Amino acid sequence: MEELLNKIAEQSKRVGLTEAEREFMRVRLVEYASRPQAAAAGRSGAAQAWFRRLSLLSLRSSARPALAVAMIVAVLGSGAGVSYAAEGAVPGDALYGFKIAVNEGVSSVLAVTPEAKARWETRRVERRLEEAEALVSAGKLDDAKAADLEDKISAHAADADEQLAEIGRGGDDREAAELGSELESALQGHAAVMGRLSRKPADGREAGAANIIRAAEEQAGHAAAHRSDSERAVAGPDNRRAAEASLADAEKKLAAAESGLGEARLSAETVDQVGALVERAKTAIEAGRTSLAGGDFNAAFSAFQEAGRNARQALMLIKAEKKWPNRTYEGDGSRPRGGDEGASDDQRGENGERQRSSGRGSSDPGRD
Amino acid sequence: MDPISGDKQARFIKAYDELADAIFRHCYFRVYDRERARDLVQDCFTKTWDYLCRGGEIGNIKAFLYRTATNLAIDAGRRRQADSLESLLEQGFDPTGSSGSAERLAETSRVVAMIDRLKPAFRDVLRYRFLEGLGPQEIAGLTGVSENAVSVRINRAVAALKKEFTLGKTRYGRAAE
Repeated sequence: MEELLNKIAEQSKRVGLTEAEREFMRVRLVEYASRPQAAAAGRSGAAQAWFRRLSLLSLRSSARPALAVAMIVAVLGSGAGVSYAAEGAVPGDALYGFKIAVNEGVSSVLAVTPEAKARWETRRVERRLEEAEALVSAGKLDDAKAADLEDKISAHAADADEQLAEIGRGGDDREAAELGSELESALQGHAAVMGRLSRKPADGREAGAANIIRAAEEQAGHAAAHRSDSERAVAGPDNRRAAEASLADAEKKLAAAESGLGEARLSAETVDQVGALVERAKTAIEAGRTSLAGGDFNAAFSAFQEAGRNARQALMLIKAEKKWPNRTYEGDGSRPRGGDEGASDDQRGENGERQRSSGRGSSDPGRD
Repeated sequence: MDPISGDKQARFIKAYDELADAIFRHCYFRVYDRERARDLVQDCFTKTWDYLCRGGEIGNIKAFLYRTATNLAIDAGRRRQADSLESLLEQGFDPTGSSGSAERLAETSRVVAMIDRLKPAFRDVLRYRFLEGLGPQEIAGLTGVSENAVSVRINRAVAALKKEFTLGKTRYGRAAE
């Protein structure tokens, strides 16, 4: 009996709210507690009315369409302003739960195909890493937030990987390789940015930031392995076109990186780092051209993908320095420009822009 | 009415973060219905907030939330019996692990149902301990009795449950013959 009871106790821990339910309820509760009329709610029954919308929701994962509709209703009901304001939230902010549960919940449900899901999960990885960068730059990345972000980054990357495998099983290896390359470069690029932001010459990196960097690099390794498999599998009459399209994309990114390198007032360290990435991209393009001329389209495709990743990482480093000039380059002989943009404003401004230069449009399905 | 302080609000949301799952379990093992349990959690927290807004003072918010949740679950009235194995399994409740036998699952379901039928003092302490995963010290904090008394009560309740279970098994065995 004791053994059975202990087993029951162990299993009872599984009974709980889902993450979406917990976050969604939290957001509603924060809103409820922030309203002046909440004080009178107990007498008027407004509390029940306030939550009625929530009670109508079926948050079970099997009811995705219902969930999407309910979340959209919640976004509209709360006003687009809340949704917009929530976009700039970072862990610890009151609206962060809204951002995850509602804003991202809508986008997740709207991403229907494996390709859209893979893009969206990659974007979510980036969003978490951008939040980590914002917190580090503001000196607010504590252990709990870092652990939470680390978990989420790993989970989103694993979800993206799963979708890439699904795309591969569906026979579109080119798409799987290109999207895998995007995931890999996003992880590597942000890990590099985090490395710059969290550097403390006196006492090493902050532990939380170091863990996030490690998680991002580990996931980048998984993504690289899958991407490499997909690249090898690209075949058929399409593979010449795939290589040529990949070259055009890589050249476009490389031109942007070179332009950024020439224009931005970068620190010596960044110039070295970005310069090395640009050189690697150029070398890969050259190797790819040779393979292309020799008819080895698979090798050419792989080389151009590599060039694209290097150029993209270079662009991410340039962008990071523009965003956080004081934090990133403090004390290393740089020429910091005026004005610390601040974590939330920074994020908000950036999220209003289109990010990708791949020609595929935004990877946030909820924004298309 | 005094405006409620931001500090109070922050503590209230912190209490939600820390206790939402525990309160959900507390409600779930009283109504055995996920949707209703979720509604009860919402009601529990909004009522607690309303109480604070009316100027109420709460010394131990955990105990207050548990008490509010218990009252709400009682008020919810109609309660499904705990012997719905399906309901438990829906929540990922699998005490046998993936390789468990159907017999073990049935036993679990019977034990949970039997806990519900014990006298209130034993029922409550077993629910807290084995269904909600609370330790004797936490139970003592919620029920207002000493930790030692809680431990003694758990032992007695387990003995009573064992007795009921054995009797049930015997009856079942005879009926099967």
